[in-house]
Amino acid sequence: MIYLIMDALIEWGRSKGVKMMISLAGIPVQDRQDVTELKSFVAASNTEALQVAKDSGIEILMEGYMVGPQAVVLQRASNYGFSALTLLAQCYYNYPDPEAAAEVLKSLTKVTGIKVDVAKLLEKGEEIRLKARDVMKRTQQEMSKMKKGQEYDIPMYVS
Amino acid sequence: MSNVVDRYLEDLENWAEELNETLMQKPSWDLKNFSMEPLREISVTASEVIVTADLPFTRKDSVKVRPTDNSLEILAHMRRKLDIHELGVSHHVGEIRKFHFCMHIPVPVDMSKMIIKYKKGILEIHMPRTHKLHRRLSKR
Repeated sequence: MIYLIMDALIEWGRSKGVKMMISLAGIPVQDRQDVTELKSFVAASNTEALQVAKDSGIEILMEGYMVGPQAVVLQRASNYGFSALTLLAQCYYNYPDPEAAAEVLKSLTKVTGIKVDVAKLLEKGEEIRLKARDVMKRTQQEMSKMKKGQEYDIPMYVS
Repeated sequence: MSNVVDRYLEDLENWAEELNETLMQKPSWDLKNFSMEPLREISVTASEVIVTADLPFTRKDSVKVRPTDNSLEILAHMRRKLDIHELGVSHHVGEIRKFHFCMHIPVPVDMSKMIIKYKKGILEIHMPRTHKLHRRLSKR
């Protein structure tokens, strides 16, 4: 299902002649509740996108595994030769995280220059956590099916 | 022989998945008791069992943890009552006042040494295991 949706999105983007596709995601961190300043990371599909990432000042993910829709976008972009970025903010593994959502949107501003007001997202954080609860429960099941846990695997690449 | 074991394990896995899906079918809120079940997780490590729960709209002093022999009951009153309509459920009438759930602890733990943390609405309970893995391999 993920492949079908992401392929359709990518095809739509290519038909519109988009310069770059950007996906927003999270990167789970242990003891998340103790982290006061969330960090963001970026992964790129090609050298042009990597340069945009470097210019934004966001820390670059040089290696590791990625699973899910954002991984499909990066892979397809690499295959088709167009630019794509994935922005990832540190987050809870299994709970809705409005603070992390706000952080990744701030990173989007750094990359695109488009300002996004995250005040309401933070203000309504608790309400969002409550409302997203059942969706998150289903997501937890889907995450285990898509083997999201692989993102914790130690990369085998040796330089 | 290994095929039989593989098939048995596969059946067991399917059964567990079906059971999980069946359990997921009931609503996670109970208007009779004004309560809802929070998102939660349990993980078992070599030395401890860790239970976490997401408890938005609660305060540290409203959380109660009641341990029994092999389970844990958690109750947390919310700072304010939530009309079920606020959660987007329009076909029911009622309100939610608390989070409440019971959880089975799958391995023996020492409840008296439990450590409870609460930060940003996330409850974290650490319980040391009573039977740690300590058997050594023989030198032969």
